[in-house]
Amino acid sequence: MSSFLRGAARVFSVDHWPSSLRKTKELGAEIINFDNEDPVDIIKKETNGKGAICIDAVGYEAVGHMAGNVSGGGGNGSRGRGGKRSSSNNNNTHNNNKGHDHSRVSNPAYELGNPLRVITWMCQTAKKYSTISIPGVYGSAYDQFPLGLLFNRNIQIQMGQCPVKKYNEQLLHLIETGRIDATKIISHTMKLDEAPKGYESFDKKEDVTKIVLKPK
Amino acid sequence: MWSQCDRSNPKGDLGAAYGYTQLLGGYDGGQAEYVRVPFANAEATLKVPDSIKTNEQVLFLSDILPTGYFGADIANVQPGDDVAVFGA
Repeated sequence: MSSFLRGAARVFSVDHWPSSLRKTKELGAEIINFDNEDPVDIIKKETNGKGAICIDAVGYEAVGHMAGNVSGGGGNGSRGRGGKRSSSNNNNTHNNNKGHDHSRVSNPAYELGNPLRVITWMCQTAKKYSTISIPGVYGSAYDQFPLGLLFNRNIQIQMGQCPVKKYNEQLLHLIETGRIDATKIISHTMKLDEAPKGYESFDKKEDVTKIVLKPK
Repeated sequence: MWSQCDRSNPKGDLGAAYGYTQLLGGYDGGQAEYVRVPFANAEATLKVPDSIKTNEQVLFLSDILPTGYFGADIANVQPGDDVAVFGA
């Protein structure tokens, strides 16, 4: 939504949850399910090899990124096509990642337990001289950061906790004038006491995008 | 200083945020009947105009809308760019 607001020609939305992908498609994005396809290959092909401006909107919560895996295996900075999917890695990921069973993923570029999976995809996909943006949250140490790849492609990185109040007035004005409608991402409204149920269906992604909780 | 405020979070280097662990100040979150607003005089400065009819229209100004826009802003997205967002 924000990228289109700023005049983006095309927006690719990369995820594997059908409900989230469907919502971004409604908002005008071209969706890529990384369970089935390699996002790097697709985006490169679609942009005639140029790549795109990359935004990491997921951070450490991405599949296989979980904090418990950070110091463990995986995490190589290379493309990692096949060969990295050892069974110990598998178990490790499954223990830390409830509801994230990826044993049947067909995308050969997908690598379990790699805390830099998204970062590496972005390094490979980012247009040369562009800036990679990381509003998604990262908390702990991340080893084997793909510094060489970034250097070779003249990529900049910008990241951090969002300075919410910096943007509030500007965005309020865009809402007020009808240029944006953020209510489009609401899928459910519930009472505050129904929050546990809401969290449960959010975890299972039962056609849930955003739930509004109403106190009384 | 917004998210890097040096005064609101006595427990760490980052600025404070609601419901974001001890690291960001240990302030309770907003999924509640009532919310305590520390530094309300500085915090509650945004006036929602009367033309906004529902809470839902401005609800996401509290976090996710600015965060999405911030993502596009720091990426310096320009008219005509192709953008790839990881995480739908």
